[in-house]
Amino acid sequence: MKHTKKRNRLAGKSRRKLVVLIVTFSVLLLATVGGVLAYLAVSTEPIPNTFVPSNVSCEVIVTPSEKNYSYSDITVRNNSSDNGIDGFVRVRLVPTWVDENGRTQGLPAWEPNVELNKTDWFEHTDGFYYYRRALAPGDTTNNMLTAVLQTGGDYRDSNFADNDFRKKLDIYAEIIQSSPTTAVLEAWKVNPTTL
Amino acid sequence: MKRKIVAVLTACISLLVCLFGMAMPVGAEEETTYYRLEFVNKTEKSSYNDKMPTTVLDVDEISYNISRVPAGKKVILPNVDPTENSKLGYWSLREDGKFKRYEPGETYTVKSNTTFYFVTPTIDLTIAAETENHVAQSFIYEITATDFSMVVCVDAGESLTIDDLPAVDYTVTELTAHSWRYTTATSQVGDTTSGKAITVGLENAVDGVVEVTFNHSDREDKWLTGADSKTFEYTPMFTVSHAITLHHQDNWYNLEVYNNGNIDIYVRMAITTHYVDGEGNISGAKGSWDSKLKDQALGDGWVEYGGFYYYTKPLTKWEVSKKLFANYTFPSADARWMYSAQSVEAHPDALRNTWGVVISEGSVTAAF
Repeated sequence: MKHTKKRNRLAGKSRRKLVVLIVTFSVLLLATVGGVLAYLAVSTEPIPNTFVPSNVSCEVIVTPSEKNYSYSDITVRNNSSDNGIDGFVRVRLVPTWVDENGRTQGLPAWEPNVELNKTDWFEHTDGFYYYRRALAPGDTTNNMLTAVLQTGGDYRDSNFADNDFRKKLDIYAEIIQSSPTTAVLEAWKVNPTTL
Repeated sequence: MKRKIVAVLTACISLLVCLFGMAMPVGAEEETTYYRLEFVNKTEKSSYNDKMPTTVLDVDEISYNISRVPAGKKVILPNVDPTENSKLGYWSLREDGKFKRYEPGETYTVKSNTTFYFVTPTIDLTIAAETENHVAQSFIYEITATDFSMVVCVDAGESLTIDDLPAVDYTVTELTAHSWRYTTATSQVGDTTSGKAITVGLENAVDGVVEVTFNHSDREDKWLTGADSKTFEYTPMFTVSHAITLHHQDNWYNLEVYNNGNIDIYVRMAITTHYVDGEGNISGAKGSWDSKLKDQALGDGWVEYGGFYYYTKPLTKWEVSKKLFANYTFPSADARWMYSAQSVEAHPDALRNTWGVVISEGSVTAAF
C-alpha cells in the first residue's frame, strides 16, 4: 500500500516535469519562430522587379528636294524608345486626287514615276516596298528612291491636271520585330532579307 | 356719243398694247440664238439641234466632249434625268485651260475655244474603318468597277469620302495584307454584312451618298509592331508637247510645237521622210527629198543636232515655238514625212540626264 502511494507520488512528479518541459519547449519554439518572423518582417526590403518592355516603332521622313528638278526623299527611321529592338520595314504609296478643299476625288490616280533604290529596297507583288535589312533602333533606311520622288505625273494624269486638282500621296510605313524570323514570315508572309 | 368714243379709244389702246406685247418677245428672240444641246444617246453619242450640224462625239466613261459651238452663241445647258439616288450631273466648261462648273439649265455664252464636258450623274462613297482600339493603323481599300480602279488609305477609327464617282456599281475591297493584325474584318452597308469586300451601287445610296463600314476586331498582338504615315501633296508637273502642222494651200508645210503641259519645257523634233504607194502605205525607202530637208534654213531659235531639231528657247505653259523652217516647200506628192515632238522640263539636269545635251539660246552641245 505504501509502495503504491510512493509510486503514485513519483508518477505525479514525472508528469509535472513533462508538462514543464513541454511548456518550456513550446515557449522556446514560439519565441524562435516569432523572432525569426519578426526579423524577416523588419529586415526584408521589397525588391522592385522593374524592366522596360521591348518595343518597336517607326517614323516616315519625307524630305523635299531643294532642286527645282523634281522630287523628294523618302526614308523610314526606327524610332523605338528605350529597350527598342531591330525591325523590318515596309512602305506603301497610296496616291489620290484632291480638290482645293482636300476632298478626295473619284478619279483613278497612279503612283509617281518612282525610280526605286533596288540595292536596298524591293518592290513586291503585294504592293509594298520592303527594306532588305533589319533596322536597328535609331537607324534610318537609305533613301527609298534613287531619283527621289518624282513630283512629275504619269502621262495619264494630264487628263486631270487641268482641273486644278492636286495629287495626294499617303506614304504608309510598318515595322515589325526582326527576331525571330517567324514574326515577319507569319505576319507579312515574306523574309525581306531573301527578296 | 362720248361713251362710244371712250370705248373705241380704250379698245384701240388695248389692241396696241397687245400687239406691242406680242412683238417684244419675238424681237428678243431674233436678237439671240439659243443652241440647245441634246443628248441622242448619252452612252454613245451626242448632238446639238438642227441649227448646227450634227456632231458625233467620242464618249468615255466619265465625260464627253462637245466642242465646235461657235463663239458668241448662247447655249442652254440641258438637264439630264438623274438616276434615282444619284447626284445630278453637271457641266464642266473649259476656257483657256480653266474649268468652271455649270449646273444643268443654265445659259452660257460661248467664248472662243470653249470645250464642253458633261460629267455624268455621280455618287459619293464614304468608307469607315472601325476598330476596337484606334491604334496607329491605316487600312487600304481598293474601289473597282468596269475599267476603273482606285485605292484609298483610311486611318483606324476614321472615315473617308470619295466625291463624284460615276454612278455605277463598285466593289470595295480591304487589302488584307495590310491589315494582317486583324483576324476579322467585315464590311457593312445598311443591314447587309459581308466579308472583306462588298459591292455597292446606286441602290445603296441615300441622297447621293453610299456609306460602307468595315468593322475590325481581334487585334493580333503576338508580335511587336509599329506604323506611321505621312501625307505629301503636290501638283504634278507635265511635259506635254504637241507638234502643229501648218499647211498652206500652195503646198507650203511647216511645223510648230505647242507646250500643253504646266511647266517650262525644252522641245526637239525628229523628222523622217518616206515614199508612199498609191494606197498610202509607207514603202520604207527614204524620200528623195530627205537630204533636201537638211538644206532648209531653220526658223528662229531652231538648231539641228544629232538628227534632231532642237528649239533652243524654253517654252512656257501654252507658248508656241517659232516655225521650224524659215521657208519650206513640200516637194513631191508621193512622199510622206513623219515627225514627232519630244519635251523635257527646262532644267539643265533634266537635259543632261535625258537627252545628254546642254542647250543655250542658238546652241546645242553634248553634255559631259
